[in-house]
Amino acid sequence: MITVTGIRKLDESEIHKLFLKLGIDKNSEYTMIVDPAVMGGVKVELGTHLYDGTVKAQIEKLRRQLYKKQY
Amino acid sequence: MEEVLNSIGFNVQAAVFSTVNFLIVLFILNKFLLGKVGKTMEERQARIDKSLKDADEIDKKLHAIAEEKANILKKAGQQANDIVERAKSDAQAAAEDIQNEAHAKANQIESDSRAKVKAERADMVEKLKKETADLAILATEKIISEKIDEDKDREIVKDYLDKVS
Repeated sequence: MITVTGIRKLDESEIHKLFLKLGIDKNSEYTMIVDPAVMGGVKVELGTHLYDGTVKAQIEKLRRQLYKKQY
Repeated sequence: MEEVLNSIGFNVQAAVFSTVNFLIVLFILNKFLLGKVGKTMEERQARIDKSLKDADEIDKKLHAIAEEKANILKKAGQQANDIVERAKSDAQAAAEDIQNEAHAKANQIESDSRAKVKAERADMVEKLKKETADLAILATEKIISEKIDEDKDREIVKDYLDKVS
């Protein structure tokens, strides 16, 4: 089960490049989820694996770094 | 001689007779009366001596008792003083203990208060920093979300694909 999430529906060329980079068969079935909460970029969930390139993930990383720096 | 004595009225025969009588009376007295009297006197003297000796011994005993009494009183006085001094010392030690304990408690309370205030201050500072960071993140999210359109999102996706190996 492959799930792709973004703020818009990615076109086929983007999906093919993405699957190629991640070592996924380009003909694999997937579900495209449009979620404005990710704020940009793309997130791929493949079973227990997660490849998160969303803006939201980067902001969360920044938030964790800020907290870590403070405490 | 006899004539001379007779001239002054001295009768020799009467004198001899009287002397013999006196000696006989003296012998009898000495034999039957003076001996008993002497013995009685000696016994009385002995009793007196004994009484005097007993009185001396009683005096000595009384003196010894008086000395012993004085010693006992002196010793009792010393013991009383010792007890009073020991009580004073114990009371002073107890007072010092109480004072030290009070100081220790006061110091502990002060230390605890300082630590509590310090911890509360640190907690407040941390909360403030966290809130500041949250606000900064929120502002960042708002700014980014307003600036990201479809073209920008394509660039972001492309950049991510370039980074993923």
